[in-house]
Amino acid sequence: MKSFTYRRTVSLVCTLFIVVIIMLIWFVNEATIGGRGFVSGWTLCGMIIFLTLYNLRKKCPYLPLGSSSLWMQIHIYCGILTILIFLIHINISVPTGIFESMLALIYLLVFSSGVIGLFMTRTFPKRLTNLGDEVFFEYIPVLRRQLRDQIETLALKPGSSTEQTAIPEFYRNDLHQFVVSRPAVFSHLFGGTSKRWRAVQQSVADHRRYMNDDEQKLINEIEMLLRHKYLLDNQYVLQGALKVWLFIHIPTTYALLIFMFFHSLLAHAWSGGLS
Amino acid sequence: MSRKRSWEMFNPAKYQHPQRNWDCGHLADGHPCEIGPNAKGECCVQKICSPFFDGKTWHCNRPNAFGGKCHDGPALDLNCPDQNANCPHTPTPCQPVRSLRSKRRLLTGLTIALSLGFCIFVLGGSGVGSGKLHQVLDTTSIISPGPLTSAHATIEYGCQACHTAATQSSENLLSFASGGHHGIQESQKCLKCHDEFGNHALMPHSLPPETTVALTNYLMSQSAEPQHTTRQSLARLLTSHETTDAGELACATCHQEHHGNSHDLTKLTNAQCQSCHQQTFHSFANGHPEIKTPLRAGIHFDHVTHLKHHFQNFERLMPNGIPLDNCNDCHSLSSNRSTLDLASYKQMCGSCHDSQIRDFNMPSPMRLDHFEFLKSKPEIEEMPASLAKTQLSPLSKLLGFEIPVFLEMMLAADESTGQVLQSLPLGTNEQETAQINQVRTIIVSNWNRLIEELNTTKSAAVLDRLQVVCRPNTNPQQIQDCVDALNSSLFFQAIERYQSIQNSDIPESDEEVIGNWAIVKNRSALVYRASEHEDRLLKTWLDLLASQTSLSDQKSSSYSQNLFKRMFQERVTPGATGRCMKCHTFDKTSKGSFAINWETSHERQTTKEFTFFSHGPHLTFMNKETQTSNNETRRIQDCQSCHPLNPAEPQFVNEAFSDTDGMPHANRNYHSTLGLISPSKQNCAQCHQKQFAGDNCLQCHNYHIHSLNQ
Repeated sequence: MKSFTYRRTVSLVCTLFIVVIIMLIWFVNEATIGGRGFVSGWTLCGMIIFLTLYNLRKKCPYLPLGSSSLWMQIHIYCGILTILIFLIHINISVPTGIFESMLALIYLLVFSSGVIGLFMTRTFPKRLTNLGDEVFFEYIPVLRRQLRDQIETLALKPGSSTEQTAIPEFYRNDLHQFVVSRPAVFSHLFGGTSKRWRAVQQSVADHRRYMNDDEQKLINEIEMLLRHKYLLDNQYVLQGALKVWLFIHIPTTYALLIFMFFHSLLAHAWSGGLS
Repeated sequence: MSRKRSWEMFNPAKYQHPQRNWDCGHLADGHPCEIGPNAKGECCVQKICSPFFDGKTWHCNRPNAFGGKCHDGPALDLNCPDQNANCPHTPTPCQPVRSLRSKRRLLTGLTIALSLGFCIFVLGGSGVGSGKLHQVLDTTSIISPGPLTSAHATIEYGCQACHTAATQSSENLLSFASGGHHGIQESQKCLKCHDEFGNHALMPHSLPPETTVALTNYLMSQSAEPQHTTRQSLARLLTSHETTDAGELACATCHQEHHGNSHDLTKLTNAQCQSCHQQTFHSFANGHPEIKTPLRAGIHFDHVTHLKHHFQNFERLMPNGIPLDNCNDCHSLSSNRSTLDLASYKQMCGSCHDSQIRDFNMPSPMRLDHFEFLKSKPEIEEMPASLAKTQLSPLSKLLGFEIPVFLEMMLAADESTGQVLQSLPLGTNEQETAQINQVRTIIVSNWNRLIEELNTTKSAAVLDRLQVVCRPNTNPQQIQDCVDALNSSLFFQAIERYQSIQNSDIPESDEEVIGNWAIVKNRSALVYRASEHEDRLLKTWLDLLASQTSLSDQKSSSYSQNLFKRMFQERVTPGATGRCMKCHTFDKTSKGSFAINWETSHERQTTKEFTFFSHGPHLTFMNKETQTSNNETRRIQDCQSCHPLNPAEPQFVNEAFSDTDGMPHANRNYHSTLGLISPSKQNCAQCHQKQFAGDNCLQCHNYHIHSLNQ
């Protein structure tokens, strides 16, 4: 892998090159009559097709097309700059036709999902690292089940010292729901503490004062496993978000390509001689 | 949770590969099977262990990856222990679920299908031929990049009112988009409403190609190398305008719709205006050609003569004897705030010039021509001595005296007169003299018949004869107007009286007046006298004469055309009856004849010109300080700030207006004939720069040049 400085330099050079092209288009656009929209339109089309080629690059790693990280950098900068061409193209006005509105909406979906994805890929890995573990996303349900089994073993194990205690009842009433529940997506996503986890913590603290030493020891173990479950949920949400944003970005990109094709067809056919 | 523990918990053999399309149905419960579903999404737990029967007993066949051989061994089928045995450790079968990647692929495929379906549905409905979507929604609500301008928003016929593509079937759309001059076809639709641009509406500037070429060549010859800016050079390099082979441009090249209700369709930047031009420049202040001096005015009014001489030295002050000292006394801003309207003749000029129009005996430096219509025929007995040496017309030569052109014109309408005049010999020998006398007899006979017709059929006689001598393409109404004007001026009553005096023994008087007619010179001639400004007879006859006169060679012209030319030349001298041409000028027409300028330049403007000037915005700044490019303040004090009087001596007679060739002289421009110095570009550019009053081309220039009458 190339150094960060190298990649950043290449990316900036590419960005500057694209910026120069955009300025040139703007510059020339002001001095031409006729199909001004076609200049910006085909530039935007070319940029979007180039951005789409990144997916092809990932599918063909054996081809000598440059490193994926470099492609990623160019993909990011080029993608962000498309919004400028887009605004030039639509002349900063809202289209009125359903077809054009959908095209604009799809572009904005692709662009905004890309920006959100960029934000997540830049911030979530740090948060995941801070969670203190590295877990495979696909393996999380297994780990969650194991944790549940461990917790229930401790809380509900028959013949243990807790048989005559209130811990099983406490687990069934206050903790079970948290253990079996799905993660609280939004609180994990935005870095907050979920209401259910706060309630669990509060409940454990409330019950702890009435427990004897053995129960205290047991509840400490259960609490530690509950914390693991909470962190595992956090992992699941963050890693899931890193995968789910592509559910918007990639399908809408294909939709954008299709709409672009038909839009260019309509634009040329309905151009009134400008094309 | 420690990193070490996490890795310890991970079993690579049980790793759920993200690339797989299917996951075990028990994964959500945390108990996925170790083998997982196959590529088709079928549960494969039964394949983990297939017990092997060696003929005596069953053996466990579970691979090591899934735990190896079990100690218990396969569970025998009690009904048929030799035929069948099952693995007791086989997990419960599940319903496999799609992996995230598979779901994403599915969603992508679904999105592609929906997008394609929607687009094909839209395109299928875009053409009128298929019309599927039209039954549900209007096409304008489906395909529209933006709102139309308010002027076009009321078009009721949908997209097909402007777009040819709207009438195409979806199958033809691809070929339609890829070629052809559809813009020109669509522009023809624009011209159904915008029909004022003439026959060359789609040509550059709506001008005939030869005119554009001539203008280009002229401008190229007037200036040095083109001064294309970097932007213009790049634009020319990277873009081009689609034109037909004939050079036609689509309307949409400049007028681009769907940019909102308040979008100005005519708005263009200076760079865009110059994108077609061979000769370009940086800005109005830097590189723009000097302002072309306007053509001469329709009405000759020398400001210097009037302001510095007449109004100062004479008592001909206007109106009502009050001296003029302000431009507003005669000029007022028109309702369109662009041009300046002139006050009426009566208000401005009447008190001085009315007497000149009426009084044909007023002293004049030029010969005062009477508008003589009839002349008495003297006794013709002998052949004039030297006909060839005189400057008279052939008919006058033949009869031996100068006859009025009107009378000659009426006589020329007789077919026999025309024939004999065409074959008129010079008359030097005896044989020819006899022939001339024969012709004179015919002419005299025609003369007598004309006078009789004027007395009997009156206006019908004049009308018939005018229709004969005028060009075939002459407007009949124009001839009728002339006859009507004669009639209303009591011409025929005057003829009757003229005849009765001629045939009676009443003592002769110097002059007898009937209507506007006077029998003068001892009953020898019937002449016309103008009564007031805008005299109907003078105006209609001058217009007819101007329209019938051409500049073609006299030899190649017909006899009647030469008559018209002679009559016109007599009438357009500044001192002729009515003195019309003292102030009114005349110009050549495109047909080769002439037209008299009865109105001012603005009033008689029939063509939308390249350049216009709006007085209104400039008068707003009268006596107000404006900032100039030199960071100085400038004050437009009065009209003379832009139109200073020419310091030259007053010219009482302007030669340009006494010339009869009808063409404005190149060295006599509009303002010089008005006694004004025309504004210079430098003067305008003090304010008209981008950061001040603006220097957009369209502030002063029109693109479409066309007739205003269409």
